[in-house]
Amino acid sequence: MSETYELAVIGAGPAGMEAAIAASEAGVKTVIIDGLFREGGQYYRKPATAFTASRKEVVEKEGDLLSERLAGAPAAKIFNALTWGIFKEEESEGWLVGLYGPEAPKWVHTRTLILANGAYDTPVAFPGWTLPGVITSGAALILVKSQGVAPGQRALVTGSGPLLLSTAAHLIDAGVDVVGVCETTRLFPKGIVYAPIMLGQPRRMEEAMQYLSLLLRNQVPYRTGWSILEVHGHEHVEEALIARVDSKGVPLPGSLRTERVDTVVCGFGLTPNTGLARMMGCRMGYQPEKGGWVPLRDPMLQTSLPGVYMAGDGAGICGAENALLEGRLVGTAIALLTGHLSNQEAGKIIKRIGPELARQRRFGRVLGELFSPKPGWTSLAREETPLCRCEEVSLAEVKAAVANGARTLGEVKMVTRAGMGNCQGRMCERSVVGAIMQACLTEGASPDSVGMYSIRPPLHPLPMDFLAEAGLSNPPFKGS
Amino acid sequence: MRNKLSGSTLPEWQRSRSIQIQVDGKAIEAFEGETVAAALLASGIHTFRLSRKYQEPRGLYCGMGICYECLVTVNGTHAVQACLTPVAEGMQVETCREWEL
Amino acid sequence: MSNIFDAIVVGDGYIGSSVAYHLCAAGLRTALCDQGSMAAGASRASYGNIQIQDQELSKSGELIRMARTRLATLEENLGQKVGLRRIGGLLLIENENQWQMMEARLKVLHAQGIHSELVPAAHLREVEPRLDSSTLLGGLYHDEEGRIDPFQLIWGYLVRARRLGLQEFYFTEVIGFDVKNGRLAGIITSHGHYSAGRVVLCTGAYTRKLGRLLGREWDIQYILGQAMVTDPAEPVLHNHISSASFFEQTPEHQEGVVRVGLAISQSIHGHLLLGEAIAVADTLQNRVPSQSLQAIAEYVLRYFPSFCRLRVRRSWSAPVAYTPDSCPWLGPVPGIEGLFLATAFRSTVVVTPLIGELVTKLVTGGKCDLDIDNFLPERKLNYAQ
Repeated sequence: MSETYELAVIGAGPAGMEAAIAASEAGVKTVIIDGLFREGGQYYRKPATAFTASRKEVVEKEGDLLSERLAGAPAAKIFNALTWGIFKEEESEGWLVGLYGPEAPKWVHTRTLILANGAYDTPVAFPGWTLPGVITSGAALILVKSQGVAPGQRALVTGSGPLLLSTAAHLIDAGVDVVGVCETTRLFPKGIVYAPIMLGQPRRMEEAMQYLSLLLRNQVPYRTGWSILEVHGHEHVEEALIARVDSKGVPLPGSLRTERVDTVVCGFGLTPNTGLARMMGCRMGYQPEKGGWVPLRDPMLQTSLPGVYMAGDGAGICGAENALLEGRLVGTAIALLTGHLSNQEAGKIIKRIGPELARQRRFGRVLGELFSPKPGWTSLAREETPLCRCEEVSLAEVKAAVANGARTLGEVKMVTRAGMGNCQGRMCERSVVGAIMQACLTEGASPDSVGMYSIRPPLHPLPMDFLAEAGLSNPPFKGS
Repeated sequence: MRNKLSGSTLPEWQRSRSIQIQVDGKAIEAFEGETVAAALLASGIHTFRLSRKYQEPRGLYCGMGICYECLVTVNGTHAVQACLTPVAEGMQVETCREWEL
Repeated sequence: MSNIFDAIVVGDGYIGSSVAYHLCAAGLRTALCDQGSMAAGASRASYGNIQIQDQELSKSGELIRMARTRLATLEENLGQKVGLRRIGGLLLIENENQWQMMEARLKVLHAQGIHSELVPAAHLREVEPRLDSSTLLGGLYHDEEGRIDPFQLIWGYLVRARRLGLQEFYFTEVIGFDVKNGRLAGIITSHGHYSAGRVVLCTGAYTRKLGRLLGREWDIQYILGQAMVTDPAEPVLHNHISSASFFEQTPEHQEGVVRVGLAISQSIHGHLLLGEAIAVADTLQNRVPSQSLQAIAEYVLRYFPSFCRLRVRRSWSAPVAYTPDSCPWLGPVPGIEGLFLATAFRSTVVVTPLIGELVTKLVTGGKCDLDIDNFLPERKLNYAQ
């Protein structure tokens, strides 16, 4: 048995939650779906229900308020459910959403869709990056904030962007000995140009000051224009080599430093989770300041597929405030589309959201320009460094494919197996594309000419016995 | 290691009840609500599996279920993502176990 | 870069890459075009299986025999490893009708020198240990089928051809043909005009669309086939498994029912390739229909229940060409001098090395070593099998 909705929101982070609230409160029959055990996404990630916290940060309190509003909204909720595929309905205009979860229905029918899948830490390959002890800043924050577990005892924090400060501060508070923060971007003089826009975000400035003062008090050096070079260890991280880098992020010789650590936390920005959009065939465009390939959307945030909308970081990195506003916008757009709001009513809401959304977008663009991936990050990998972690494909193998004439990501994938592992290329796409472009530099290769990995169902690996029982009809099928 | 219980950026924790799980045959203390990954890391276990081709040690990387590095065997089921799986009393976790049909 | 060539190959799959290589090896200045890039069509979905015993044999017997000899020396001639190895093929017999068909088939196979055998259900596990044969009547077994690594084969041809001067034009769609007085002068594409006196279409399901550009109605049909791949497992499958239902009359398309033509293989890395769900469609697209994976899983587990916890990583869908008489379209197009077709092969892998060679002879000398009367484009098609 499966239910039919007017709207299915995939992803219960900031964007998804606001969208579900806006749409359902306008009368749209809505369901919100997430793979985690409850709402919040990564930004408002909640600790296990069994834990209690007697004092909360501002962001946690915000998350709690949003959760309360969602609980009060007339939207159905399905948690612990991974969306493994979305298919066009054969008989109607709507969509069929396939779910995988212990208590989830197998299918949800919906007339319209909002994809709000958020983002994940951009993986950057360097020698030793696959050693246990090398983790992303997202992983570090989840561990210390939601699990109350520190990733190790002595940590180096490296990468680029404001999240580094937050990560380092949280680690220090968790009792980790943070030996230093290496920010690859030289913030001056470029950063000064953006100062006015930064100062227009008082909450963030306050947070940044709080984190910086914590670092200062604990005498944790914050080095700008420095990067991770290599990580060494037998079974686990034992030491990290760092060096000064030029404005492109390429390491400069002669500035090497060794840090004895058991943990290296990498925060090189965020990449939008566009797997579902790609799988469904949404038209994509390459926008590096938004995190790479993003779906093309109209002003109401509809993709190239009618009835399919996207909101939040999953459609392009722009921050949590932008995600909340886009969620509200897109929920309103669906309410208008499905006839629950009049043009006038919807117009009023959208007009109210407009100016603040524009401001957040400007801020997001600034962050994107300052901290978006540098070409030098792809130069961190050496010949034997695995670019594809899942299938253990090295930079040397990718270059050999190019030397034999490969010019597209598809060819390299077929020949080296890069991108054929469990993660369907999420971890290696950027590195492999970067390596191909680097090897074909003189031919004018571009992200458009190299292409992206094609994504096919299932979005996550599924056991055979689950699939065999996951047909729409019962009994499911006939052989020939 | 588990967090110290105070600090300006972090909530003050109260963990719920402690439970026992088995990791590679050894009894490990865990707390209800923790993920398998958190419990392993808190006990100083960082290598969760060996990579297939080069048999290299792998552990937690993304922490949010998309890198598929943190795969362990739980109660006989292979390729379980430790970062997404909550611990349960009496759970049998095995690290570095080869996939068998 | 000049756009003038001696020959242009359209379609960079198995056949196209082999033809392109052989043309370059014969000294022709050759271009290879594809609307996508390498193996963008049915070849991408291939298991790499060298299937012999389920071939159309009444007209294609000689073709298959010649093809097998070329395969034996392929790696040596190409100077490249393509993962060629010998495995068996097993056609599962599910009902009395299929049993009778396979008995008749056996005679045909033996007459062609293909020493298949009929294995009763009780002995199937000797041939395939993990098979649950409790609902089967038996199987048709041939121990001399084979496998190659699909992408390594195409890549092998491309790498060698590049060293011989092949020019490739990807994401280049053919939108017209330049024909003057019944003579081909070149092709018109989304990226401009390319001149050549000889053009070979190795375009599978897309061939019909190209024929329409010439005002021709070519009866090359297609279905959309889906398959999926699992995590790697220890070596558990000894043969390529298919079903004798392949030979049965295709039933009417039933609403909500997904047809599956069983196809199970294990790659050299241990992944299990599971397929093939068949969807009828009138548009060429590669999206996977919603029920295909489930149908495949249900069917596979019927015979291999121990695969139940294996995880499916990925699936794909590709348009696969077929013709009503199960014979390929191979040869010159009547009335257009210089245009050749080489497509719609029933099991493409086995013929791939041979076809490159044959087409090169056709294109350069007008004749080849094989009698291709049964394969000529626009022949009168015999709809009775």
